Amino acid sequence: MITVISATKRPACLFTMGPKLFSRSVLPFSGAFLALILATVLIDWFLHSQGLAYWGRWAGPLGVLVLALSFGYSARKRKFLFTGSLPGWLRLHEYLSWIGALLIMVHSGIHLHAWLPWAATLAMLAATASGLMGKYLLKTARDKMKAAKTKLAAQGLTDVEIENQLLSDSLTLKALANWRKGHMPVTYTFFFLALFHVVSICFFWM
Amino acid sequence: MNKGLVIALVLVVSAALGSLLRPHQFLSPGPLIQGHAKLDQDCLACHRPFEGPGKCENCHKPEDFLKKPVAKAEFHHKLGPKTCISCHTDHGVRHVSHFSHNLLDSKTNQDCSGCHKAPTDKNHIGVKESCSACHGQGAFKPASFEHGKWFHFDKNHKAKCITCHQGEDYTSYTCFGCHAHGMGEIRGEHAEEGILDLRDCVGCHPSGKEYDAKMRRSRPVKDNGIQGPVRQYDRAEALAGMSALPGQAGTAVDSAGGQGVQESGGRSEHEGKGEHGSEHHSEHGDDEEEEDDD
Ligand code: HEM
Repeated sequence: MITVISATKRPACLFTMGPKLFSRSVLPFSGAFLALILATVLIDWFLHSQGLAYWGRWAGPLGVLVLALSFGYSARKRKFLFTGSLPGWLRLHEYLSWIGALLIMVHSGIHLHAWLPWAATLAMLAATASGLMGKYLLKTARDKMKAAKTKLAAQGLTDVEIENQLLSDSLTLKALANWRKGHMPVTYTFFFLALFHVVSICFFWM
Repeated sequence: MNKGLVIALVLVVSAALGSLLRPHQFLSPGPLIQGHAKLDQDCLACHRPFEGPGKCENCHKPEDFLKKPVAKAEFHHKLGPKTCISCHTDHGVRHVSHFSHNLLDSKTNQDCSGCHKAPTDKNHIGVKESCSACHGQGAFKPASFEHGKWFHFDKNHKAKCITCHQGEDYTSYTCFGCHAHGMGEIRGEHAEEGILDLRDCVGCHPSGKEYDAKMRRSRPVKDNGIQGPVRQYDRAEALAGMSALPGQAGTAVDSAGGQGVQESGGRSEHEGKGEHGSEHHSEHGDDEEEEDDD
C-alpha cells in the first residue's frame, strides 16, 4: 500500500487519498510498471513471430550495460562522479533503469528453467517496482513540502523557522528514509543474483 | 541490522549455495535430451569451465556420422568436432538450429544435391542450372524466380497459376485459358500481320498488352505440325535468359523459340476456354473493358 505523507497533515493512505493524489502518484507508478510488462510481452511476441527469439539473448548484456549507466546516479550521489547535476542524474537513473529492466525482461523471455536467473529477474522487478514507488513518493512529498512552506511563510515565519518546523514535523523525510531501507536491500539482492548468473554463464558457456 | 538487509543476505547466500550444490536446477536451462539424460546432473561431463561445452568428441567420433545416410555424412565429416553446438542444442527440446552453410567448405557448399534431394516435380524437369539461380540458402521457398522476366502481371492479369499453367505444369502456358482471349477472335487480326502461329503470345506481348507488339515484327516459329494453344518453352533457354530485363522478356523467349522450342499441343481452343473461362470472368470481369483499352 502506498502511503502519502504530508508535512502538516496526517498521512493519507490509498483509500483515503483524494482523486487528485491518486491520479498523480498511484496511476503513473502502476502505469509505468504495466507499460514495462506490456512492452516486454509485445517485443518478445514480435521477436518470436519473426524467428528472432535468439536476438533476445543479446538484450541481456545490453540491459546490464544500460542499468550500469543508470547507477551513475549513485556514483554521483556518493561523490565518485563530479559531472552533471544530481537531479539530472536522478532523472537519467529513472529512465535508464526502466529501459534496462525492459531489455533484461526481453532477455529472460519465456524460458522458465533455471532458478537462479529467474530469482534475479524477480528481484529486478521488485527493485523496479520499488524504484517507481520511490519516484512518486518523492514527487508527492516535494509538492506537499512546497505547499507547507508557502503556508508557513504566509503565517509570517522566517526561513530558518520554517526549515526547523518542517524538519521536526516532517513525516515525509521519515517515509523516504523508510522507503530507502526497503529499496536498497532489494537492489543489492538483484545485483548479486544477476552477478551470479553472469558468472555462471561465463563458467559454462565462455 | 536492517531487517531488509538480513533478508537480502539470506536470499543471496541461498542462491549461491543452491547454484553450487544443485546446478542442474539453479543454472541449467532445461533437461538434456533423452540420449544424454544420464548426464543431466553432471554439468562438467560436457562443459569445460570457462570454455563452454565442447567435449562431444569424447563420446562421438566424426567418423560415426559416416555410417549415417550419405546426405547426412557428407557434410558432418567435413565439420570440426567443436562445431557440434553451432547447430545442435541439447538442453530443453532437441532441435537443430543456427546451421549455416558457411560452416561447409566451398566445394561442399556448392554441391546442393550432395545433401538435398533434387526436386523431381514438373517445375524442375530439365533445369540444369545451379539451384542458386532461383533459390537462396536460407530456405527453399520462396524461390527468387521472377515471373516478370517472362510475363509481367499487370492489373488485368492477376490470374491464378492454373488459368495459364494447366495440369500443374509450369513449363508450359496458355493464354487461351481465359475467355477474353479466343483464338478465333484474334486470328484475323494476326493474319493481317502475317502471324499464323498463335501459341506463343508472350513472345510478342510480354505484359499481355495488345500494343506490346506494336513495334515488333512477326517471327517465324518452327512448326512441327502440332496444332494447339498450349505452348511449351525450354526451361534451360528460359533460365539462360534470366538476366534479361522484364521489358526484354520477349527477346529471351524469342531466342528460345528460334532455337528449338518444343511445341506440344493437343488441346483445342475450346478446351482451354471452357475450363477456365468462367473462373477468370468472375474474377476479372470488371477489368475486361480496361483490358481492351490497353
Ligand atoms: C551480461 C549480462 C548477461 C548475460 C551475458 C546473460 C546471458 C544469458 C544467457 C547466455 C542465457 C541463456 C542460457 C541458456 O539458455 O543456456 C541467459 C538466460 C537467462 N538470463 Fe541472462 N544474461 C545476462 C544478464 C541477465 C540478467 C541481469 C538477468 C536478470 C535479472 C538475466 C536473466 C536471465 C533469465 C531469466 C534467463 C533464462 C533462464 C532459463 O532458461 O530459465 N540475465 N542469460
